[in-house]
Parts: sequence; structure tokens; C-alpha cells
Amino acid sequence: MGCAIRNRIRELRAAHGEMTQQALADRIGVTRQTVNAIELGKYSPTLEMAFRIAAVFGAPLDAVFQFDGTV
Amino acid sequence: MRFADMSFREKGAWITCLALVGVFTPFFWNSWQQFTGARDRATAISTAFGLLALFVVVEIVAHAVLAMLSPREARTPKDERERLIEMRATFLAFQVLVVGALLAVAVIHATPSAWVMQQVVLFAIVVAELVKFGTQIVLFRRDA
Repeated sequence: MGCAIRNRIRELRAAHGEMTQQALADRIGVTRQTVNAIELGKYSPTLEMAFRIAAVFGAPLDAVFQFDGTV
Repeated sequence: MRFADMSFREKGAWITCLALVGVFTPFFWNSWQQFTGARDRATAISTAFGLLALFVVVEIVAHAVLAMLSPREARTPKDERERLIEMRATFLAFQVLVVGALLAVAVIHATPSAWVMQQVVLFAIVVAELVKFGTQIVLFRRDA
């Protein structure tokens, strides 16, 4: 489930008072392991999940996720 | 990766995999012995039913203990990644089950015995379940 989508979740968690993966997982309704997989770029979240994550950090979607591939 | 770091669903998949191997290895060994005549029918049947009952008990007790140890995770519905992993694993297991079903059809032509066909079908179900939970473990591990 590798993906061409980079993200800044780790950085944003740190900027939000060292928010833990578990705390973020609880906010968006997934397991800690899923947050970890997203953070490591091993799993691409659905669009809805991506918006939820961005909403937690109060940031626009493209400030959290960046597409690395080509079209 | 330690057991404590695994998600609730992955722990459940490990439990079922181990229970399947632990119970159905002696189950099919018992069937083979019955087939070759090394074990009489009555003993083989009681052993088989005993092992099936053991599987049900192990599954219920182990999953209940797991749920008691992680009550919050047990109540949490599967998330999108877990559902995707389950779908991929089920898809693969279904292919195995189809092959097993075709094998059972072939076996009934080679050996017109309902008992042999029953064993082949049971074997296909067990292997398909092993593929399902084994695939889930691999996919959970790959993303960890």
C-alpha cells in the first residue's frame, strides 16, 4: 500500500503540542497503527480521512498532503 | 514488533491463525489415520468432534480475553485501512476456496466417498481461512 503522497503529519503533530499518534487517531476515528501507516507513507488515506486530518490541524489539505507522482 | 504494539485486529488474526494450525493439524492427521485404517471410525469421529469443540472454545476464550485486555479497541469499529486489508485478504482466500471446491469435485470422481469429499471441503475451508488471516497479518506487518 505504498503511495506517492507525502505528508507533514509528524511535523504538524509536533507543532500542535507534541500531539501523539493515539490522540490524532482518536480525533479522526482510526487506530494508532493506521495513523502511523499514513505518516510513514505506507497507506494513502481516503479523501474524507485526509480532510479530517487537515481539519484537526486547522490547515488546508495541501498543507498536510503533497502529491509526488506525475500525471 | 511486540504483541503489545499490534492493533486489536492484528492480534485477533494471530489468535485465529494459531488456533487454526493448532487444532486442524491434529484434526487432519486424525482423518488421515482413519483413512488409512490406523484408527477406528468411532475413535476418529469422537476425536474430530472433540477438536472442533476445542477450536470453538479456544476462539471464544482467546478473543474474549483479548477484548477484556483492550476494551476500547474492541468497541471501536474497523477503520478504512483495516476494512481494506480485510477485503484484500478475503478476496485472496476466496480464490483458494474456489480451487478447493474444484478439487472436491475432482475427488468425488476419483473416490466416490462422501467422507473423503467432506474432508477435502473442510481442508479447503481451513486453508482459505489460513490464507485470509495470514494475508491480514502480512498486510498489517507491511504497513507497520
